[in-house]
Amino acid sequence: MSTTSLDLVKEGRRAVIRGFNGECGWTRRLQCMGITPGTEVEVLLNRKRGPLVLRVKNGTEISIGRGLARKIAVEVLE
Amino acid sequence: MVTKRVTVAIIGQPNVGKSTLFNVLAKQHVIVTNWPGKTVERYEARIKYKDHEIILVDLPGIYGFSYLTLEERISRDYVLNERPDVVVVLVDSLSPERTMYLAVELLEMRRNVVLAFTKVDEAHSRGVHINFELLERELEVPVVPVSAVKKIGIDYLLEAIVRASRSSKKPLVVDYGELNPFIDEVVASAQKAAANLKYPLRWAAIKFLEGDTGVEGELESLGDTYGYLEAIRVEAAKRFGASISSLVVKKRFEYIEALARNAIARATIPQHGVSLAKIFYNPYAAPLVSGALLFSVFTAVFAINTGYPLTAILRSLGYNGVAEWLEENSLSNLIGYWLSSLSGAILRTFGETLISRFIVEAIIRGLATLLLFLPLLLIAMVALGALDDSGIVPRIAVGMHALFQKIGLSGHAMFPLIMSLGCNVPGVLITRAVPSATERWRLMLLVPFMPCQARLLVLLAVAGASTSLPGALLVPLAYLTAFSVVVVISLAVSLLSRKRGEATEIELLLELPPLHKPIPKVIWWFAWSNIKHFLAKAGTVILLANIIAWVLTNLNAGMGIASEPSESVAAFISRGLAPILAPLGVSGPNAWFIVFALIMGFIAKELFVSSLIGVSGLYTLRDVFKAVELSPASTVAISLLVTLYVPCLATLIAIYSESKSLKLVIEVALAMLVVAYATSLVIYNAFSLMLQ
Repeated sequence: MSTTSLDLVKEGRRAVIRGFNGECGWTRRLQCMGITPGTEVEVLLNRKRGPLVLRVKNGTEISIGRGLARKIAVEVLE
Repeated sequence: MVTKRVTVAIIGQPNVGKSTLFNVLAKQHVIVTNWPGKTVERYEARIKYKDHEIILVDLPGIYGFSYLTLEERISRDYVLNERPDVVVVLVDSLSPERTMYLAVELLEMRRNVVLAFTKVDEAHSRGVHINFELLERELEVPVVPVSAVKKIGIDYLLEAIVRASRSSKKPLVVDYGELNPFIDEVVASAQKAAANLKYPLRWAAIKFLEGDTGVEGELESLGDTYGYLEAIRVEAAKRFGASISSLVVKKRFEYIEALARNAIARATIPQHGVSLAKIFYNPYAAPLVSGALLFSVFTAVFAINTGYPLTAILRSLGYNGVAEWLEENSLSNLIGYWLSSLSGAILRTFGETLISRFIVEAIIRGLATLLLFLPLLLIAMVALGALDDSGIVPRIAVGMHALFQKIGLSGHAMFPLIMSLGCNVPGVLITRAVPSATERWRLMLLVPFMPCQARLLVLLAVAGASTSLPGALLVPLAYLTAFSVVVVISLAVSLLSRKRGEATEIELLLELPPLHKPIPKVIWWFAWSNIKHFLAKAGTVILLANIIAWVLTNLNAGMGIASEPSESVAAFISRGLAPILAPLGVSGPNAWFIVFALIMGFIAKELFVSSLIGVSGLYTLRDVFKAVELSPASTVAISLLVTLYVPCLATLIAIYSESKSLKLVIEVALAMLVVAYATSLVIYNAFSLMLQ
């Protein structure tokens, strides 16, 4: 298991959210949308550029910009 | 029979189907106002149920009760200060574990609550099974499954509202683990200092520990005790760091997960949606698929309205007859035809008196402007509603995000800008969906520069009338210039705000609802609620502006009736302003025709052509251009001026009604005038050199 930021997680992998790099309106909103510490997410889309698409809590897909993804610390699951 | 009045607030996270349910409950009796002092619209409806009068208030969609965004402040203040008898909180049956978050926080504030699980019809087919009775026992509030589209459970919901209004249970207590002692201490000390605080105490204590500014303001009235509360918070911060709010959110979700373990079961059904959706995420296919999709939708919208660009394609293929038929039967042509026959009938019946001319020229022509604009708006909104309801719009936004980021915007900007190619007014209205206030403000400045269909009509007319200029060149040139202006201004604005050191908070954060077939009823509600309110406002202003313009063109300088348009006050003003156009090569004795038409074009762009003909007393645009002695270079310059200066009064009204900022409206208008003039000046000189 290794800790990294969400934007570096490869497409198709799962990861557990560990925390946020700095608190702001965006990270609060993320948490209320279900992206909270301890939650498992699946990275459905992550190319070199452009936003990521995640699957959270039983099915909802959420897209987040790369800048925001960089602020999210995660643990990649094997 | 005594009627009891029950006030009910409806609340839910975005995308849970709130407006759909509200529309079904309200049964067309909706009253639209604005929240006091706010830019957000407030929807209210009064309905009868048995011996109750139920007043429904639709609160803005929010994810939680923090105090950060405008929507959160409105919804929270309403629930806490106005104290509705019942709050109905919606939960999405398709992802209950995530959308129950708002409901749990609400239950910590009060217990006169009904949980309504939306989209139950869909949940079944997706294999989600929810034990509503168990949830009702655990949460001690009514829990009702509903489907607004299939009208399932509506009566049960109303019955539950009545039941909840009588409940006197205390708010829900969620276990916050290691944070509990701190919460208890804040509650105990605050209670000692003031027995009757306005806010639910335990909830307020949690918010206070999170550093919520709204609750701080409320607790400051406790005087000395407030200092002690702050000391508790400092202690808590020492133990948990800055992440108290993360901990709170996490514990709430843990509470939900414990509930869900027993109450929610899922049959695994293979998801086909993902593979189809992948097309929109492919870096190469995304722009192509999105582009093709948007192009075909808007071609259809335009073609129904004016025939263009389908007619041009048909003509180039040799189907002139079909093109002509399409043009004759396009909506704008049909409406124009009906109105001119009505005007003719009025003039024939009452003769050409001043009053009958006033009715025909000021009032009917004003209504015509509005009527010509209504179908375009409606069709565009229906198309947008269909794309939006099917879940395609957010996916296109994801695919285009990287492209928009290059000019300082996000994927959220895609739809307002594309929409504006049809009409700027809905383009401004749908900036509402953009989460970042900075980006929304920027878009309201950019949208009016997008060339709309009215401007296309003017460009086509000018290109057709010019003898020495290939029309096929003029339209692409004008569009390319307008797009470049949008890109340059967007870059300039974002560079400016970066220089000022403002934190750029333009990011993408979007929920992607599952792709599905759009539901006609939902599309209609979307379209109608988006334009109804605006039409009433714009209608009055357009009519008023048209009446003022009529008076100015029919009054002469001596306050008498002008026998010729060229003797009117409007002509007098236009002559005075005519030297402005001299640098663009428009300087003959009749140069004021153009100024006059530009002033009228301020009300609505299509008036540019008709008022040129009207004021000159000539019959075709070609004759007018000859009379003004317009050179090819000047024709290009004037076309660009028309494309880029303020699109129409309706757009400015839309910007005002969305931003409530007169300053922004004036800034937009000034920026457009300056940019339009400067650009056409450059183009005029470039063309003069080239054509020499």
